[in-house]
Amino acid sequence: MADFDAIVIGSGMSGGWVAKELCERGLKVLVLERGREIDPAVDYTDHLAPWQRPNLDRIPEDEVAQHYYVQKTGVSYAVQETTKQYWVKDDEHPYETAEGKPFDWLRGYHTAGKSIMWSRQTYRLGPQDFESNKQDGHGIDWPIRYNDLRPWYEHVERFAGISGSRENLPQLPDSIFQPAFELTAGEQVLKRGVESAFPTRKVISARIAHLTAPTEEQTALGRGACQSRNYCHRGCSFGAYFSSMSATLPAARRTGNLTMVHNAIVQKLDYDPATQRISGVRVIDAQTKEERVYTSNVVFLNASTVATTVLMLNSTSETFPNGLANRSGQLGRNLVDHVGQAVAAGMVPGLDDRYHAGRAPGGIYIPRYANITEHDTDFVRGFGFQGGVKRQGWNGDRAGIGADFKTANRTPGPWFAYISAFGEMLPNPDNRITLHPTRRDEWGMPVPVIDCAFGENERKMMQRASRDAKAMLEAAGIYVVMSSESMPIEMVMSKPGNKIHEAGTARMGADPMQSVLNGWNQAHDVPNLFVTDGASLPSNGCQNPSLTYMAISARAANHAADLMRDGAL
Amino acid sequence: MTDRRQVLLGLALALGGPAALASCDQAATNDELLRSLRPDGRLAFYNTREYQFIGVLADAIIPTTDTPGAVDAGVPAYLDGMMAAWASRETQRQHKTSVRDVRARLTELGGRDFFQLSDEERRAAVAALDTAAYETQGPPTAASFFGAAAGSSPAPETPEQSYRALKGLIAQIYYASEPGATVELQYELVPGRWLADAPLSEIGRTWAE
Repeated sequence: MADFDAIVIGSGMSGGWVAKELCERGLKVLVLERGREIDPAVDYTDHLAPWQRPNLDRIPEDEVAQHYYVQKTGVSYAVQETTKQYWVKDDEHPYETAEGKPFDWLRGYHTAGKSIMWSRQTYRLGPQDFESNKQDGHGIDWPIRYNDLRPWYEHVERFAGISGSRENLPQLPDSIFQPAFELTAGEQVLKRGVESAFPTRKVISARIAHLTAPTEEQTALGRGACQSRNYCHRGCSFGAYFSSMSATLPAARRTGNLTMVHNAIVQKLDYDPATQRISGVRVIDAQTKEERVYTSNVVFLNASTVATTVLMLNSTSETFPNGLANRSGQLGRNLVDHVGQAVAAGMVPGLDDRYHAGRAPGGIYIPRYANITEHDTDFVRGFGFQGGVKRQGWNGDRAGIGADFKTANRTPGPWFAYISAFGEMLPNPDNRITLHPTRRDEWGMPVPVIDCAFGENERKMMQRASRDAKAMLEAAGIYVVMSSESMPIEMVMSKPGNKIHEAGTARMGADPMQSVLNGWNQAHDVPNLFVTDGASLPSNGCQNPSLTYMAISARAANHAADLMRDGAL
Repeated sequence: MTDRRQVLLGLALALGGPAALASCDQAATNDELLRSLRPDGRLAFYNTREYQFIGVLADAIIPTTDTPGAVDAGVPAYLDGMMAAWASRETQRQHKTSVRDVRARLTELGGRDFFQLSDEERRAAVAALDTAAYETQGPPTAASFFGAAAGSSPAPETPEQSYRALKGLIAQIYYASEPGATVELQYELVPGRWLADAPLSEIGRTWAE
């Protein structure tokens, strides 16, 4: 008799959803979280006013050098003195990269994982994103299409709460929306300018997982409407943005079916060749180093793309000498992120008499048009832009002193506009994660070695995005002060991993010899193993991926529950 | 540009020279500020003279007017604590060098030690340095937009650059302070609404964040 009906490894964006769905189906679920337990009352710092944040919210420089040299450099906007508790200490959680190929592995180990620190941008993939691999031959065909996932997008959107505007764009299908955050005067200028100069492009309000008109279901979970503080990276005491902490874990817990264990680092999944199933989940306690084994009928892997891959690669057996469920040899391959940093920024003239109040947690989004409505490209696939236009505040680096300086800063600064590209990265089997042959971390886990680089398609894409970004701001009459257009392309490219949208290393597909999972996120060769984090995606679109992780997790969890109900698992 | 700066500095020196002689016994106004800059307890980073210099400089840049100034807002003590707790040894060393260089340049501009100057002379010296520090400023650049996010900027090389960096820090601490954020500017911990587009006249002052 197994300890649990299901074990979910990881409590973040995707694991929270699996836990909720399985618990609500009446199954006894154990969630294993490798990190510590977060207590919002203690850990959230969103109630601190500027004068209550130590040292201008800067982490001491020596501490950054010792503990946060990757995290701080990679996510400088979100890794601060009042948020450092959400980010791993790099020296305690090492990884290696291939020579000359840097990779940012940005993460946090605690309840709810990155769903605490995410930037909450929420977009569906479009029909084209499920077909692009097949059409241009990069990667393998998705085993599912947009319409397979559409009802699950709706399912998770209703529960999570997404603010946005209906646009009827085929390539970026509308979600079930709560009211959008309205555009500033400057954003309206950008919208008018871009849409009149480029009729097939749109500037829309960013779609973000913030409650603006909470439903009864949401308030019943203790969640409230967004207060426009924009202190989201500190955690939200109002539960106004979606996280496992605010939404899915409480929903799972109220069923009475959830058991959650923290500091539980999964080292290995035991495979029983007689039953061809996972027979146990081997765990080491992060603090005591005590080892134990949990058992369940089904196991869901939601540890995040890299960690899920490491765990599977480490789970070798006679049947699977190269990693669990890795008959195809594809486990660890096809690592993708998004490519970024094509950017333009500038000042909007006029509008001196307009301003805004409150701090909107999002800005604008420019959906993909390249190879959708505009085909004059020298690359495949495409990119979208995130950005915003808001008025600058005070400026400490302006000429003048005394009363004049103070008076000048009482009037807000110029309208500052920026847009920054997120492009799709092609799946490539050479971009891969392997295990270091000898080096292990403090808990005995092999250290991952990440060998990943962008290719020519991503470079061409960012060249085009740089030109387009500048041209769009100029079309809106914005005075461009910074543009990546004139920069050498290698300086424009983000580091792989930096967009924190890593995916692809245990891909789903129809052919067991070319893929790890089937179209239900179920391992081809291990029927009671499901992987529903980013690792499962055959490609990543150019949209921020969290919503897709949510939808695909809910879909797979309900499929697994159906199988269990029917006695097929 | 260099010529203009030299003329300007010369002018300040010329004005400061005679004034210096005339104001030997006029240090009473300074004393009041300096007395207020006696650190309560032990300083964490500065020596007393450096601490007082930061205070005098901060007071010249952001004085008490109809609203509290930088000294009222506790900027010197905050900076003292921050440099001790946040800065690496290298940053601490650079910062002390910056403070020394700026003080030396203000002494040059004032015609004698900065502390010996009257309030008015002090303001004139800081004003002259401020003018010199910004006169080469071209049109707005990306750096001037992102400059507030200090910590990543290269070490200052001239007294003018050091001055701008110090000024930026003083301003950052002042506008993050409770008086700076809530009395000088306006601040809402929990806005509770997003007003995307409204007349500035209805909103009033710059928001502190």
